[in-house]
Amino acid sequence: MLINTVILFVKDVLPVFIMLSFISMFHIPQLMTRRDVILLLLLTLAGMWLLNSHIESLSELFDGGGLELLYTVIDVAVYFALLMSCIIFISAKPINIVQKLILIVSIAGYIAINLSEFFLYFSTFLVSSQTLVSTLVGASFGLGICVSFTALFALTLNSLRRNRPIVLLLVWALYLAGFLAQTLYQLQQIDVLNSGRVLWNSSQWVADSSEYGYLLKAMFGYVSTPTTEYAVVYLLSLILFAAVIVLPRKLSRAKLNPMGGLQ
Amino acid sequence: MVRTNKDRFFLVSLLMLISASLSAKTKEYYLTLQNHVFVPSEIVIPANTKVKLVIVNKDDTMEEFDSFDLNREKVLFPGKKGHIFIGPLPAGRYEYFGEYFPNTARGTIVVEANHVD
Repeated sequence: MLINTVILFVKDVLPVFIMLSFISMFHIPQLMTRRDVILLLLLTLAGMWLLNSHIESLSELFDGGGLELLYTVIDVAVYFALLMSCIIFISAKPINIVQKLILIVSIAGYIAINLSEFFLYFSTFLVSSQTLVSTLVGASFGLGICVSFTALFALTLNSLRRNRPIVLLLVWALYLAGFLAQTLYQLQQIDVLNSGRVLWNSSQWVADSSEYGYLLKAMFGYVSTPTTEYAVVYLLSLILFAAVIVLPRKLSRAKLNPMGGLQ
Repeated sequence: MVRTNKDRFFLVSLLMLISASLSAKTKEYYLTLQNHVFVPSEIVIPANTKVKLVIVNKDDTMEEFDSFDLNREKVLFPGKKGHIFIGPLPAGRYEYFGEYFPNTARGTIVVEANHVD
């Protein structure tokens, strides 16, 4: 029970911590004030409450594919909101209220979904006195792992921002590509999209079920058996990122300002 | 507006294709979760064919069907059933488990190239 709680915590909650690391790098304090962070927190809590109280009826919508569709819509919204905010960050333009609201609402939705999944598990075992202690201890260990990793990851990102801003952009591009590509599985699961051919199998090197697999999936969308469409969406996302951020003539003339914008 | 015989032929072909794809029903396979155990623990499905896996949760607790091999995750509510589509897959063995009770809720989907029902 203890080990399972740690694993589930890392699987469901680590992606949230990784996203928060990127957000703290790109959005705070340039795009988000302390008040915005509080709004993000409140919206996340409201989203979690809404999801947990209606999750069963939501799952029955659209012939049993309601949750998958909701998760896909939110993930795609988060992808475009993060891409938009990255453009704003690079160009050092002020963010307007609509853009800020899109960013905050979509991120709150994403965090609410991930945390709700863990809280469903948590609530199942918290009611039993036999599993209460091991669940709480496991969650504490999981939280410790996530916080430690996030601290190191944020330090690395901060160092890249100061010394290698282009590498930071590359890491961000890979993160966003993996984030978008993973939405495909939700749609394939409910038969909105067909599954294509598996391109390769790298599970003998890094299995999806291993700790490295969890980490690489959360950071760069690693899957050991990617399908054709997964690779296509991944590549298209990288091309889109390059097109909207790296390619503009502005970048060729000016250096990336590590504190946001261009010098 | 349909103007020529060629247009009519194209339209009729398109309608036939759509109706054929709607009528081609995906084969269903059933899996039951009871006492935190998936029954049957092994399901055999044909290779290179999309199938629908219907999972019935007869327990009074939640469970999450999870498979790294299949890239599928589905929350199963107590006393309810859910379904997922899997495949087309190459021949092989694909493991799945229940996230909440992974020690007991485990099973395998065997994909066979020469599968006969």
